[in-house]
Amino acid sequence: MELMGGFLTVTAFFLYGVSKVHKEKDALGVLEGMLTLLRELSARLLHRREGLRQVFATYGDPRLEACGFLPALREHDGRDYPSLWNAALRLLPLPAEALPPLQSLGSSLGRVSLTVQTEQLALSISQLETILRKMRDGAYQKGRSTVALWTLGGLLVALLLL
Amino acid sequence: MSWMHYLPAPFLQAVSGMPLHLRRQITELRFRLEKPFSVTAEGRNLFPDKEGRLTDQKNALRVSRPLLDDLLARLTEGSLYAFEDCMASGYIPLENGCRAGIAGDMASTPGGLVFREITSVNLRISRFLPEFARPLTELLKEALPRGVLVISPPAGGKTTFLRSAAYLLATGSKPYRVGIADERCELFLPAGLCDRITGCPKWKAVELLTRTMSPEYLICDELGAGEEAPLLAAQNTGVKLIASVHGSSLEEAARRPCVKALLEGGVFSLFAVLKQNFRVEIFPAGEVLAWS
Repeated sequence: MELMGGFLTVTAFFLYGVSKVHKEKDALGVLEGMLTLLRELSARLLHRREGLRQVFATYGDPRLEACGFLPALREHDGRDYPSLWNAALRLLPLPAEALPPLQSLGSSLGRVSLTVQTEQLALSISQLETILRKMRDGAYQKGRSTVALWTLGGLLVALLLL
Repeated sequence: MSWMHYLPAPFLQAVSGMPLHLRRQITELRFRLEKPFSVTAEGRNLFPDKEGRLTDQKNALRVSRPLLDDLLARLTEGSLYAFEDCMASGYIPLENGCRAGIAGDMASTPGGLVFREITSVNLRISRFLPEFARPLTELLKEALPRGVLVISPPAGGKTTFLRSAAYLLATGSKPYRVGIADERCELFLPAGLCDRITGCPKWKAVELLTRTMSPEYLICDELGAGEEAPLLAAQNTGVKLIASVHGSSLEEAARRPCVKALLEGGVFSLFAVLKQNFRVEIFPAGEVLAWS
């Protein structure tokens, strides 16, 4: 019975570690989704001069739909986008370091000329690419360490309980 | 009224509070930075307070920078960059033929002229008076050989007249194919056999419509310099042109080189001069060509 309890404790800690790794993978996916959205936005602004309402209404990405980011941007009531964008950012499961470039872009979204807007988009894309590269580089090693640490933690708790 | 959704809350409240008979006659709303908000209705410039009561300039609702920015965001649907070209020409096209004229501080950049700061917005409300051009379209049904030139001073109802003409020609028991060269997105039509090119220079739109849509009538607002060549070419294909030009009289309009070239090219059979209170005076070309 005690062995079974110990086994369950270790398994629970292991699974919690795995879920943490999955969450980080999800964050990676959302960041990739945001990068794709910004590239699409940039292209549609530059080549078709589409309004933001049109872009957000027709663009689809399951990673940004599931967390409510794109649906929030579609609730445009004729007002400007900066407040809408920054409110929608709070719905994204992103690491803290990825937020400043997106917040900076949002502060003037739709309020500036085409040249300035596309330059701001290019800067945000470049900053997010750097963050994504760093996250990807460390993701495998960090994932393994996380699972191992939580499993060891579970083992320690099980030993203390026995 | 569809244009009301463009107004930020304080202006909406002021307009909503105005007497109904005035509200229905509004033709323009003017927003000038740090100045009183004004409304043009029944040919008068009125100053409503925040409750919509008509007052003097001193006590009228004032236009602050945040309110003007909010208005611009609404007019551009939160996408200022998408209207950059139109804005450099001094306007923002809106739904249903409405238009916002803009003024302010401009700057010359490598990409062309841009507004550094917008300090005035004039929201022009479009009207749809389906029967306005009825006297003209009745004459057109008599198989006139050529087109019509509509003459009126600015804000005299040219666009409303052309909109009505397009509507009457493109609908009814014997509709015609009507091509509309609508550079400033003002000639919206709710129905009919209309093909419209918007946001494109008039001379190019005329050329495209003539080549691709084979219209029977071609409608073109506010003729300007350099637009006569494609219009003359279109005339030679048998398309009847209905165009408008700024001017208070036939003589004044005929002095403009573009109009003169079209007169000499024999493009027009009729001239329609718009007067106050939606009155129209129509002259046959012979009377004008004698002195032009």
